[in-house]
Amino acid sequence: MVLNVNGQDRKVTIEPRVTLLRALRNHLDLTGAKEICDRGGCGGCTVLLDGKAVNSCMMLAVDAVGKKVATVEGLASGDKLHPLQAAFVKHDGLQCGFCTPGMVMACKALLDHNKTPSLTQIKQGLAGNICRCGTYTRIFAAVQTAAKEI
Amino acid sequence: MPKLKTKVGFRGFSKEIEVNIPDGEPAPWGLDAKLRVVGTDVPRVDGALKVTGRAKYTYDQHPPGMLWAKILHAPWGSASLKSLDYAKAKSLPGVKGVYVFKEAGRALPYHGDEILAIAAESEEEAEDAIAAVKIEYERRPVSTTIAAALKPGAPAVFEGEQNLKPAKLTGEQAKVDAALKGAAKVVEGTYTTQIQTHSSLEPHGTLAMFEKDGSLLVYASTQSTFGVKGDAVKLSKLPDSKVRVLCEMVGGGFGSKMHLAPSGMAAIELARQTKRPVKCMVTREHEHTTGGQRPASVQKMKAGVARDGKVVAWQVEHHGTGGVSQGGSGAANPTIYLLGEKVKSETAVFTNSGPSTSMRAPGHPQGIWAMECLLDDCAHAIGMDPLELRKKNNDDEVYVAQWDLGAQKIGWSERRQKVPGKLGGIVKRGLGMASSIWRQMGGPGAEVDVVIHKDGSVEVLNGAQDIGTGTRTVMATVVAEELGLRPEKIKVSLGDTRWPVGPGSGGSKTAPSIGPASRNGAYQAKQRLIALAAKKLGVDAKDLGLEGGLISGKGQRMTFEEACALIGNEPIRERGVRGKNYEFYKNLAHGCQFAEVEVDTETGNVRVIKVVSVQDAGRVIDKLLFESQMIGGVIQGLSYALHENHVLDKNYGVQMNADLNTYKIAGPVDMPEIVAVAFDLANAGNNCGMMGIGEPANIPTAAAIGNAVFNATGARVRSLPITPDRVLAALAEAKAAVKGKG
Repeated sequence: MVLNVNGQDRKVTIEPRVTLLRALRNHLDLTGAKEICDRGGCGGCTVLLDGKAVNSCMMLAVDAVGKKVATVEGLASGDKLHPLQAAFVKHDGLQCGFCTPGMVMACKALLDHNKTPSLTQIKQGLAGNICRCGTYTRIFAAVQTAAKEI
Repeated sequence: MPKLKTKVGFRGFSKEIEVNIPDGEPAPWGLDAKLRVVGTDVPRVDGALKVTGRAKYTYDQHPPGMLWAKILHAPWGSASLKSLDYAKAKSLPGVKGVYVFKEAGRALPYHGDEILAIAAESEEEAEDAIAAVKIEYERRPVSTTIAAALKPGAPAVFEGEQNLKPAKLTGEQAKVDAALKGAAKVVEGTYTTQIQTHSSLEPHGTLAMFEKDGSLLVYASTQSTFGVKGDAVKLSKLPDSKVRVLCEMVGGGFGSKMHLAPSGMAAIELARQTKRPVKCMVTREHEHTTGGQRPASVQKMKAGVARDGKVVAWQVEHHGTGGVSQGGSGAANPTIYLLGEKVKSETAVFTNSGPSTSMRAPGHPQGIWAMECLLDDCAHAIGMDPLELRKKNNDDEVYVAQWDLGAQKIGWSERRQKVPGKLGGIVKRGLGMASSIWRQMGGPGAEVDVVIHKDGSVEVLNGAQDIGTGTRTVMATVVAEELGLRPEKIKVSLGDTRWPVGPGSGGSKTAPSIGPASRNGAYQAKQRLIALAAKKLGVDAKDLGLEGGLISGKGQRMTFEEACALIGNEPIRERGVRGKNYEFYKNLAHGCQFAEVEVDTETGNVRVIKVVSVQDAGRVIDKLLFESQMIGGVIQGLSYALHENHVLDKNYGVQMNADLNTYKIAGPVDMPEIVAVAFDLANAGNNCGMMGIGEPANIPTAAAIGNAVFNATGARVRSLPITPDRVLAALAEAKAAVKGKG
């Protein structure tokens, strides 16, 4: 099947039961998105599907055919970080970094749909994402900074 | 050993102490030291890697030809393995190897116990093969909680063994009894805490591969590369020089990843069997059931307090359970305060639950929860401000300064309910506080190579790991300070056992062990660079200094890069060795947290509105990351206080919530306002005067929240987590007590 990932058509030969997440990770070596809970309960596998944030562990790769998949790897332009990524670094919105790709993509979806979110809207927009190190309040600050810069 | 005087203390308090500095080490930074980089906000040096998804964790490693391994684990809380037949599983397409942990006949004393592992060409094929294993169990009765395990005739967790070990006793009961008699008020209560799982987002896992020359290469999600190496050497029976452990990034550990886990054993054995690289990452369910946990506790306490607020007697009967392991099930109670005559009995109890491992400040969150709540009970009994009572029992200048600062930032005197629960209305607000203590200064066992190249680039190397605490950034900051450069100019490489030795990340000792070693290496390398410059400039090396990218003195100057150009074919390479700790101002990290909560007295729901955390850990190296650790500690503590609970079915011993949907970890919506105050302390003890902040930051949150709930409602919840049903029960109990008095 052909998956359109970060603007490129990528051919993969996989069984129909393979999830979008495992197709990206195990067959296209896009390892940014993580399988953390495998139940749609943590947001670690968040990617954008036609601009909407989805848990890529909860859908099959075949269901993404014909749609546009955006992963964290496609956000920066070369070495230049996307303003949202730069804001994450500036405010230290990460520690171990394992939830970070999912968080960044959830924040991207949030800001794409609401350019000036309030603190409550940010919290609600990220409600599907878990961070174990406890970086949430840093991430809220990063989103507020990025909202001003985008 | 050069002797010198250094100024220690903090803003508002200072004194001079004499320190004996090991030969070849720079002097510690004194209180008035003018530091350019240390103490400022230095962004994480590996931040860009992590936000772009380019950071490669063990879980992300896919070498060519790699097989995927999955583990079959026990589905019951206690069973014996009647029969095990994996012939069909082995014959399935893609299956390449089977490693058996436990043969038929063995006991499986907890849900999640490892039975076998299978390696296959794809992740899905490995999962299919696990599902195809034919297995019969004979279930046994279980003891799932401390209370259940202590009942007469309770099922034995291990056949033929008692569920509890003999109690450890300290102190004299007669002295405590006498002191209780003389007390103005006696308070008592049984405080309990639940099992908390580490829930690292990257589960335990290992990738193992044997190279052509027979040597073993291991990628491990670990907080101790050298610990895993030692375990892998033992398991593989290879010589030390033939085993190499790599760990570039770790998705959290919190104490659970100090050793080669069963998944690592499976990866190594299956790699040997199949002659292919094998990666074995455990599932979320398996991570919950066997990845480690903070032991549950039951702490029955009694205290006597004098009219002036001095606690005169303290009695604790503690039971703790680390599941099938009894280690680490103690509780830090009493500590911090004087508390008069003390007696304590501690008993470790076996239960049918996965083994405990150290978890972020082992023993402390549970011990401090019980102790700080009972201290509030003491204050309430004599009608004293709880903060005042603490000052009566500890007058250390650092604690007092931190308490005052925290009290001011939360609005203690204005916002606290003078009479707990007195405020009208359905939703009530209140304030509470608690303190922390942590004794860990780091020490020998860390060596760091600092390399200055001819092109002006600087490399820093150590074999230990950065589990997300920011070790890389701390090292870059210390070296940058010493070399007069910006931290982003320093390339720090961690996580390869071929590089110099470093500690396991336990006890908050990584930074205070590696940091001073880094400074020693940078200091020595700097001397060599200055010597080259001195020779070129024709001045004495001791007249030259290096600051802000310039080597200057005696009217002569040269840029750092110009001096580096003088380096010959071999770069300057110096190994900094962490010496022993020397004289210090403080050998412990202090801290306190203040919480404001809102309690809905109709639903029992608790919302944390604000937490103020004030913590020190000696010299603050990177303020941004230090505060991040503090914030993370508060959030994990809040999660422990209100949400997390590892629930075992009492009949079958099966964990009912071994996932992230029903094992509740605090999420974005639960976040209060968090104010982190990094309390900088000039301390000596080592050349950076630093300690670690990872663990202390997590200690007092639950107790502060529990005390705030009491202040808001006048009702005491004595069990964690503070769930709505417990709040409602405590409110009913408080109401009944008032009626009883009336």
